[in-house]
Amino acid sequence: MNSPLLSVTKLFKYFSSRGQRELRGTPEQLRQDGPVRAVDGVTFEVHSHETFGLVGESGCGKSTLGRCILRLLEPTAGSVAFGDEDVTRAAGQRLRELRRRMQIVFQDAGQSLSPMRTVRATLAEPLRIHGLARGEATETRVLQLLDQVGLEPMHRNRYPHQLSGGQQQRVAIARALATEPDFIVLDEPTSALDSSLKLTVVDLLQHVQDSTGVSYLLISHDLTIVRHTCDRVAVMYLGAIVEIAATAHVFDDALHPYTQALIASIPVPDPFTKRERILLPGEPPSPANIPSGCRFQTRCSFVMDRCRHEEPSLLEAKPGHRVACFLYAEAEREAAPT
Amino acid sequence: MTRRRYLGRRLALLVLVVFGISIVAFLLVHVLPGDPARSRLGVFATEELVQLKRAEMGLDKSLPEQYVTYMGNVFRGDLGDSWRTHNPVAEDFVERFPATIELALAALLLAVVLGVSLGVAAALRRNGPFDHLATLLGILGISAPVFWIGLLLIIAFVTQLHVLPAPLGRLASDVEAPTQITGLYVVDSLLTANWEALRSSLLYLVLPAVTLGILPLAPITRMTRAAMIEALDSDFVRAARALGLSRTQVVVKIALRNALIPVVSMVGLQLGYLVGGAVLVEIVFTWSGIGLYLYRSVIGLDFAPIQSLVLIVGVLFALINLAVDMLYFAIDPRIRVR
Ligand SMILES: Nc1ncnc2c1ncn2[C@@H]1O[C@H](COP(=O)(O)OP(=O)(O)OP(=O)(O)O)[C@@H](O)[C@H]1O
Ligand code: SF4
Ligand SMILES: [Mg+2]
Repeated sequence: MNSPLLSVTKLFKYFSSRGQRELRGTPEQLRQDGPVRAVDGVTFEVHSHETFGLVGESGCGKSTLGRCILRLLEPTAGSVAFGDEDVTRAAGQRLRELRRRMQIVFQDAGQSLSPMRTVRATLAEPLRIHGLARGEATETRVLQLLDQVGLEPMHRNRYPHQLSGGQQQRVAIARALATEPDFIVLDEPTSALDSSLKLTVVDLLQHVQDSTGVSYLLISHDLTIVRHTCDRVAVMYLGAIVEIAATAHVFDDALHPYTQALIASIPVPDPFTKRERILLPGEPPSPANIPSGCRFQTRCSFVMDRCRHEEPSLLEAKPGHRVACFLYAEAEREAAPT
Repeated sequence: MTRRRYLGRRLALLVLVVFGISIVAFLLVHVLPGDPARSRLGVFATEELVQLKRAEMGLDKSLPEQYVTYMGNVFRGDLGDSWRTHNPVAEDFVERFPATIELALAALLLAVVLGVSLGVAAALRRNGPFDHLATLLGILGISAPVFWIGLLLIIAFVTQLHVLPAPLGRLASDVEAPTQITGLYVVDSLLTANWEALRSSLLYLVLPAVTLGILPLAPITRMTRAAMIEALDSDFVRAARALGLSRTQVVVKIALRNALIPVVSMVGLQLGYLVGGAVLVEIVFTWSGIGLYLYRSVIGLDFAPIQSLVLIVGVLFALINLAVDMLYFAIDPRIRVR
């Protein structure tokens, strides 16, 4: 396979459980003090033109992972490579160039737009920072971006509070597109929208991808949309990826007991409820207190003796289908001698 | 609500407030202990003479009649005479007002510049040295009385270190006052390039301004810190970083700009306390502004100045509040455009 656009390797992000002090040290050392293990050793790749889905319950570390990839947070350990650049070490001009190529649309678009600036100022900012347009050209490009996300020229003089939720979302998308990035993190881009708007925004994103070839990391609670749009999906539980495979395999042939439970919990489409959250029996343990052994053992109905003492690693159970569960240890043994 | 309607309502309110203040100022003479007529003539005047004086001063008429006469005089610029200085109050006032303005502006400038910088520094490194300094100043500003701080500063810098002049007025006695333009010695000496007067007036201004400035410094610092922490943790700041804006630009252009909105209204509130504090500071430093004038008039039961000062300070206060509101209106698009 051709080399990936983005590769995340053994990425960790621990937060101090008291105060907002940055933690320093290896994950092994830090674990002594019971930190919040928001991202706990994550490895995956995203390819060009790909939409990569990231699903999991609230608080499992999806947004933190997205922010670490973009260096909006400094990872505790691990590496992020983008093309042939090391994102975690880049600085100065190289980091700036990376920022041009990697963008993000935040979960709550309204909150991600400065209330003091017009749409025009918001969209012109990235052009100015990266020297992509000047004077007249800025205006032309702003109009072009508005058009690309289905907004009218008159919207450029509006302030965020004068826009609807759907329009704010489009502005946030337009801002991410302004620098013509190769990769965009979409952090629950539809969760603040009602169902009819969801589909238009999803169509819009799809359309942008078809015309620009951008790759997405789509973080979402909405399994229906993930199934619809993603090429591959990773399932996250308490800071770690427990299963990763092509979308069809995840939805039709889920291996991990957690993935199976997630999929079983997809609500029947009901126009009267706006169910967004994944509902699963029991509460997940706190990320500051992850069970030793398999992190899912406290809620798993297949739990075995081994699960309590040993941590399963993410291994290939079928071609292109990796899972972290001892139920598939056969595959592990078969794969080992080769 | 449109801008014009908002303005109209504020102006109507202002008229009402000014009317209320004038009534209070007018009634004050009738509430204060002592008889204005007798205090002019002295304790040895006969009752007959006092009655004559009362008639001359219009004190034998009905209250509404007296009010109308009083306001008529005020509108003609006649605020009565001070029997202590033998001057018309309006003249005395015009002479002393610039001194108070100079003191208040210097104190406010100091408090805003220091408070905002300290607040930003404290927010950028929570629990860092600046954060502790801010906490300390906050405790000092709340718990230490102004005159006590003033005396402490005098003891330290005047009696012990001998680096600043004794607290006796606005200029050294052997320095001539700069040509009057604004009445603010520092500004006037700058405008006329009078370096000797500039040096002297600055030396005399430092301690009173610091003493008065400590009062609003603490709340301004606290408000800036809180607003900055909130802004720095917002998605629009994260978005600006993701776009590649440098850290300084993110702090100043995005975070500070949003954080200043609540700070502006806080500064407006502090202006009121500043007027109260100025009276005390002027007494401690024999600063010949309206605070000292008011104090001496009260001690000497000099009614006309007291009455006029209540009126003028009250109206000034209402005008400042209006100005701050307008400023708020100008800087926050969420209020400006709907
Ligand atoms: N700055 C921080 N300091 C301490 N803990 C944090 C911080 N940011 C996130 N966390 C914790 O890390 C964990 C993961 O948070 P994160 O926001 O990444 O979850 P998420 O999967 O995006 O959740 P959601 O679906 O609700 O958005 C949570 O337990 C959260 O409380
Ligand atoms: S390893 Fe054990 S506890 Fe963990 S998911 Fe698999 S069966 Fe369940
Ligand atoms: Mg999130």
